[in-house]
Amino acid sequence: MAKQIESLIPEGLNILKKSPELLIVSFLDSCLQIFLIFFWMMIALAGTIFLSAALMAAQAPNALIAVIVVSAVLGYLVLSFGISAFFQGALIGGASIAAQGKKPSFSRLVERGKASFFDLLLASVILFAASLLLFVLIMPAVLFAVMKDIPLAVAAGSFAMAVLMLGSTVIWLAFSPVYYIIVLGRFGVPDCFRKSIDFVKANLVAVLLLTFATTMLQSIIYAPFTVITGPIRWLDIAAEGVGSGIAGVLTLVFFGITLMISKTLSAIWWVLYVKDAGGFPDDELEEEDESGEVIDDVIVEV
Amino acid sequence: METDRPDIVKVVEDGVRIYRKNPILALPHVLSTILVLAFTAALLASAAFLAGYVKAMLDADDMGNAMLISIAGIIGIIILLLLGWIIIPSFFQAAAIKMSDSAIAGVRVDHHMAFSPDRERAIDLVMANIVVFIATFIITLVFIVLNIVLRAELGIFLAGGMGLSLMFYPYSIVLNGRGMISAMKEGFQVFWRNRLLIGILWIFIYNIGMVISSLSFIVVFLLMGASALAYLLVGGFSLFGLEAKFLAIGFGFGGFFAITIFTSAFVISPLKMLWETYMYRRLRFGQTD
Repeated sequence: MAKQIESLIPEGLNILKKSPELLIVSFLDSCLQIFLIFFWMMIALAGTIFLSAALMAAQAPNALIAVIVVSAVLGYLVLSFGISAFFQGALIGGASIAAQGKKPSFSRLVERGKASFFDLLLASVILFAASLLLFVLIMPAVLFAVMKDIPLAVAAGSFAMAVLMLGSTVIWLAFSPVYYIIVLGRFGVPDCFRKSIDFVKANLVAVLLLTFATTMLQSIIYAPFTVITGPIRWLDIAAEGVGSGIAGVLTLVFFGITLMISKTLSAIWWVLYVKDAGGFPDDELEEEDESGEVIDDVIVEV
Repeated sequence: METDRPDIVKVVEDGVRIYRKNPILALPHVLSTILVLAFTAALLASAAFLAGYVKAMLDADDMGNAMLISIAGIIGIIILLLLGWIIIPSFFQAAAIKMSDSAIAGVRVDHHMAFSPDRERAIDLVMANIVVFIATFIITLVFIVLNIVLRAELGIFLAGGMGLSLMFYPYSIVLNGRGMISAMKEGFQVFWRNRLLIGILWIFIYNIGMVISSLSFIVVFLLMGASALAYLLVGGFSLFGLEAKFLAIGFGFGGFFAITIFTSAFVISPLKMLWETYMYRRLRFGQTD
């Protein structure tokens, strides 16, 4: 019998307290994603300024400029998904180790991040492409609206919205545990999708409960922080902009903390449930010495 | 009073199974919705009649009486509207709780039960609902002021917490025969001793309602698409008094309104009541059959 959802909450909090390394994984993930956005924006800006001038001077065809722009976007997406896949593997694997009552050392986290990297990357790219494809359905409606053929735009838009709502709900629900199944069950693509659908069918209510709880977690954690950031804004009365400035910085900090805690705690809850309900075995952990180094050969003397 | 705690997954699954076996459980919710809508429509019609009367007075330069009748009319209609919205559902709520309780216990439920609530319990429930409405109104105002002064988002969570803590008083009145104050105390005790479990149930009920409502909008979009397509293929025609080219808009607005009421009366409200009744029985009496 699978774990009771109610028992996951204190158990998850306990694991989080004992294994703060997991919080660091989430923190690094968010930091790298933010860094990537800034880095890519700078490259895009520099590229636009220098490359477009050079291309225009050389009278390059528009197709070449389009190829460069598309490559830049794709490059960003691949890097972003790559970072996410590595840290997700580390977080889920680390949570699984912590759930066994062991310490998820950084060497083990890196090892887990590398172990399922390509499967997680592929699965996230496929899911993203599927969601994107659903949004493409809206395009004919937009096109008809531009052409001022309103009845056709309404017909196309309405049908597209129906398919979009149904499709995105199916993707959201059927594949919500897919990353956990890849890491915990060591499934590859496409087996992980089949296994995920079977898992959701067998545990529909629990999956819904976990999805709802983890979605609301962020708002629940963030709300008390607003008691601090809200009244600080009143400082604006004394000195224009000071209150809003401090509150803005604090909001960013608190939001980062909220994101870090909610992401880690959600992963722990999912790991605890999926591991138990899916019947996935515990990790076979090698011994480590005191510094956290994995010992290759353990000699047992009798 | 404390008993073994139920598994929330089992509560939800059992609730759905019981509802599928006894779809008649939706009857009190449907009747309540129809009566509330009819009552609201009647009051809006009388408001329109009153407006015509006031306009005639203004035309006759009788400003004083026009003002007096307008103010009295507006206050009267608001009070009647609020009373109607509380009293009508309360009677059906008492019947619906009793029906849910019987269905959970495995007793056969029929449509007669929807019309025969325990009179004494129903009156207690009406009184309790009026008191809770007034208290909620005042506390919500306080929370809004707090939100504005503190510029915090705590108000909605505190209001949600208050709603949660009052989740069980109707069940305590109907199923345990308690009076208004005693039911509120007992309901709060049941909540406080099982706050995590009840919090999870509330999160589930709140979100599943949103999911079901948004999924039902798919039907509305299909109707809108079909009517636009029919206009393109057939051309000028009218349906329900609407010209073909406005049909999609009609289906859109009407559909969203109708589907929201339909899913609420037929799916969300009966299931919510079944889950809450099931939870109350398990937490209070330690058994469901």
